[in-house]
Amino acid sequence: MGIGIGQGVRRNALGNFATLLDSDPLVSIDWEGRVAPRLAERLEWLDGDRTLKLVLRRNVVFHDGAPLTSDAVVRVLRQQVADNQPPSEFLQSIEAAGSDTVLIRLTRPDSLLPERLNGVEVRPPGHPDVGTGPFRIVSQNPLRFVANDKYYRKRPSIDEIRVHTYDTQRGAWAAMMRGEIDYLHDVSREAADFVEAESSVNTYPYLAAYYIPMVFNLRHPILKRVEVRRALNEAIDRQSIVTQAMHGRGIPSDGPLWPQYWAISSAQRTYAFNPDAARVRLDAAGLPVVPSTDSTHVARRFKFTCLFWSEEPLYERVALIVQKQLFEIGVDVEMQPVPGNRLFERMQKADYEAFMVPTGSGRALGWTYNFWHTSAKPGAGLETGYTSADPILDHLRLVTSDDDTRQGVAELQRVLFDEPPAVFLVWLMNARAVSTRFDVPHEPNRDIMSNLWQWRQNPAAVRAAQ
Amino acid sequence: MTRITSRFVLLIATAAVAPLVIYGIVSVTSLRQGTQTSVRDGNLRVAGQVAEQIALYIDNNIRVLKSVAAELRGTQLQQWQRERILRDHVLDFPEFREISLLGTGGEVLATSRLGTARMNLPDPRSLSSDPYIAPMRLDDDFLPTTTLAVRLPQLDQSSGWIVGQLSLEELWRVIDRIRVGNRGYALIVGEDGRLIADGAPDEKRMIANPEPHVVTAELTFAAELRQNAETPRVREYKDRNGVSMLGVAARATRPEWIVIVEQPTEEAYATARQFERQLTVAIGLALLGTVVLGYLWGRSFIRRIFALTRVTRSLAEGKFESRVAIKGRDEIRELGDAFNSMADRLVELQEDVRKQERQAMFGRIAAGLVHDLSHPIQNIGNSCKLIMKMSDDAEYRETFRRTVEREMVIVKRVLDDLRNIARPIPLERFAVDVNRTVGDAVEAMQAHAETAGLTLRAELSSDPVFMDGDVFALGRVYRNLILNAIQATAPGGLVVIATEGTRDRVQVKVYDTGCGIAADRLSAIFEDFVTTKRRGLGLGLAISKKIVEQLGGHITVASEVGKGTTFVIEFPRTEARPIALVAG
Repeated sequence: MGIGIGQGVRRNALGNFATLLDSDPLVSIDWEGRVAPRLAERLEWLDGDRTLKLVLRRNVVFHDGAPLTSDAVVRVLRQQVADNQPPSEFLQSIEAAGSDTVLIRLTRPDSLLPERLNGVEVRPPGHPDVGTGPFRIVSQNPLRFVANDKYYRKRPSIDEIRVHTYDTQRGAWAAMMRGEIDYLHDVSREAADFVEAESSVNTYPYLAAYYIPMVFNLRHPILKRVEVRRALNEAIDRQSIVTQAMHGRGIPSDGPLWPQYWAISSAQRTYAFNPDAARVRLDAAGLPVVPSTDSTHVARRFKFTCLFWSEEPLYERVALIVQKQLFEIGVDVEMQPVPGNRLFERMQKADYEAFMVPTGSGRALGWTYNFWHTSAKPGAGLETGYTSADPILDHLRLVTSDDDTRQGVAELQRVLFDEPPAVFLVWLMNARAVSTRFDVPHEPNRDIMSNLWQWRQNPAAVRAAQ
Repeated sequence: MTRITSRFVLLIATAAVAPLVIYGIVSVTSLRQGTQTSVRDGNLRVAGQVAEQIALYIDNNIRVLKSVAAELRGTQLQQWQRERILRDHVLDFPEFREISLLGTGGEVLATSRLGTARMNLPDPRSLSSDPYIAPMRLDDDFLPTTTLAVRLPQLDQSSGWIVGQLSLEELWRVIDRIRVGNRGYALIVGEDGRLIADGAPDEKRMIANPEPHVVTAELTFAAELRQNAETPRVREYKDRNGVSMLGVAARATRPEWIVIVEQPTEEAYATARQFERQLTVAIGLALLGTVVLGYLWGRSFIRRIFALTRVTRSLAEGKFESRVAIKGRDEIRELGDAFNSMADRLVELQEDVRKQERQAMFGRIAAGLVHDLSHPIQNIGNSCKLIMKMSDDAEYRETFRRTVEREMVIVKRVLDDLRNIARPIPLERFAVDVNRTVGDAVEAMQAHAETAGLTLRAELSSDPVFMDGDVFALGRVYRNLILNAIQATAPGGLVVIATEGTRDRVQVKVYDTGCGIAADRLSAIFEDFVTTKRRGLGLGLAISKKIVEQLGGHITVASEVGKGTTFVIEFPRTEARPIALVAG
């Protein structure tokens, strides 16, 4: 089986893609954001939610044949600590209690700990290519996998996977159209119509856990004003972005929380498109439209610069629409295309007034906490200057019951509405494309990638091809 | 002989079936050609419409650029305003990836891009026409694209160009909407022979295919049409999947692309073939009906003729009671009635003939009896009278007694002949020496021959030949034949009786040099009461034939008037010797 990955997602996703194939996490996060067992078949909070007990499956072995034991997991977790990537900032100790039990002791409760365990790659120290996943890597360049005969759930029916990368997403789908690959990891929105029409290919659209926000640097003298940010939120017609820029393959966003999250409240207020209200709000904020004094700029209320990811055509088109819509209320946005690596550098240095990048939400609270909390952002280091959500995010981290979590999430939604740190534009709908030579288990709107080990060759299609 | 049924079938085939078949062939052929021409014309119209749509598509996008140009013509526009106009148009017309404003030297004055212009911008000095349409090319993703440009006059006292990069993926959507039947699609071939758009969902991979050596029947078709405008615009070919396709082509005028509308011939001609089938079935049913009706009608017609034939044969076989019953009110019925009348009349005539024959035969028998018996009876009567007169003369009485006895023998023989005609002749079979029997007969008849003044000669075989027979009956046969020969031969003539033996047959031949028998009477001479003589019952040859056949032989006759007659008798030969010889 050949898999195509375009450059648009390659840098971010290739590693994750490989991890999905060759490594199983300790726990998984289901579609509604709840923690589900994986290598750990059971999780249990002890000691007033200060100790998390993990009970491991007994029939799991690594690709090299070694069994998965509590000692192996403890070594992995301790290595993370040593690499300054502890699963929790409140970690006290990590211990093995028997061959299949791991105890993670904390100095205080941390509800994000189970979700963060989802990101822990369980591999023997010093063996980055050995995991417990359904496939094992046999070659890095070109990236090639073979089925793990000892996979604890069931041996995959696909024997081998070869991964091809392309300069652009369009290049990848062109290869798919030519029949050079069986699976296209991401179908570009421009191509989705044509790929869907191809009878030899099935496409599987899904709601990705990524949204596009226009994030403000609250150190900007104007953008730090909450009424301005509210006005900017009201000035944006999110549905038109979905329609014009995304060929309808997205949904409007009203916040950073995963729309399917089990604790999210549908009763919370959201911003509706109302440019007149935005103008009134800006007028009331003392930001009238000032006529242009020279030929270099438009009559405007104020101006700011927004960085956006230049390597993916979608963002330029979204930027154009946002620019136009804000122009309609007298706000002059200079949209500045920046390559991804340079953009990330400037984000880390807070060298921006606003930026627009795809942002992961995860399906639980962890990613939201990491992105929007001013402190304790391991590896992120973003400085937006936004502190309003910190208290409720801290509170959410302390609670572990469903009721408390629901109340906390509702409060977080309220804070993000009242004091928006960004204009949350759209959620991305992505699509995978698979040759009809394969039968793919599929639930509507969900990502088929996590089921790759269950894909089977379609005997009828194979016969027809022969 | 050609049977009337065959003639009838031929008649129906010639008069009804053949014209219907010819009509059917002509109709089906005309229908096929007409419908196929209609399909081709329809598809050609579609191809022409697609070509017009392409021109419209390009023209519309040129209008977009002209709209941009019109908005940019104001000389006081600021840079941000120019960029806003360009960006608004890119947003409103997503088929444009970007639109840029070029100065006369090719410098970018403004672009819709948020960064720098990315497309391959043409050098305005090389643009050959206004508007300018660049040849289609493949972009970095091997997808077709083209560049459009329109002149922007008097831009800040200098001219420039509005250049837009047009993604032909949008054209695909236009082409995708073209559908002929269920499986007919349009495709477009660019100036360089590459496929630009293909409405068939599964063939889009061929558009993205960067391999220039992939040559399909469609591309060949387009190339030939491009090279020679006289190339027929309709063609049937097999596509790369081996499916027989009907392809029609049209040339787009701006840009110079070739539009091909192709449809599987199976589907394209489905209606025509359905009509053909329906017409063929209808004609077939008409043919069948004609044949059945013709058969039924012909059978009823011919059956009456057959009935007439059967009765005719029956009548010929002597079944005079046969009659034919023919229904209807036509000439055949009249013929049947006439036939029955004729049969009735024939029976009447037959009865008349029989009556006349019976009367003639009675007359002949009576005359024969009178002839054969009157002389003996006269002699007997005279003898009796003379015996009475000369009763005392014993010698005379003895003479007359012998005369009476002799004549009585004659009378008896005549009566025996009459009796033998009515019943089998009693025969006693013994081995007989044929030469001896014949010799005896010749000797006995020698006196008659001498009286008639002719020669009677026996020519006997050198070897003795034997047969099973009755000496007396055979002697009678030979005497009868010799007597007939003597009576038919003029004085001085010759009568010969010869014998001859083969391996298993005995042959006795009697011939004369007499007057002969006419051919028309020859076949009847062995019948009862048939004679060539003026007198007699005519029983001699009939009885001779009867005796010969009772002895296992047969008798034939050949005669020529004026030359003579030959009777040939054949018997089975036997090796047994006569009893007399065996005894001796």
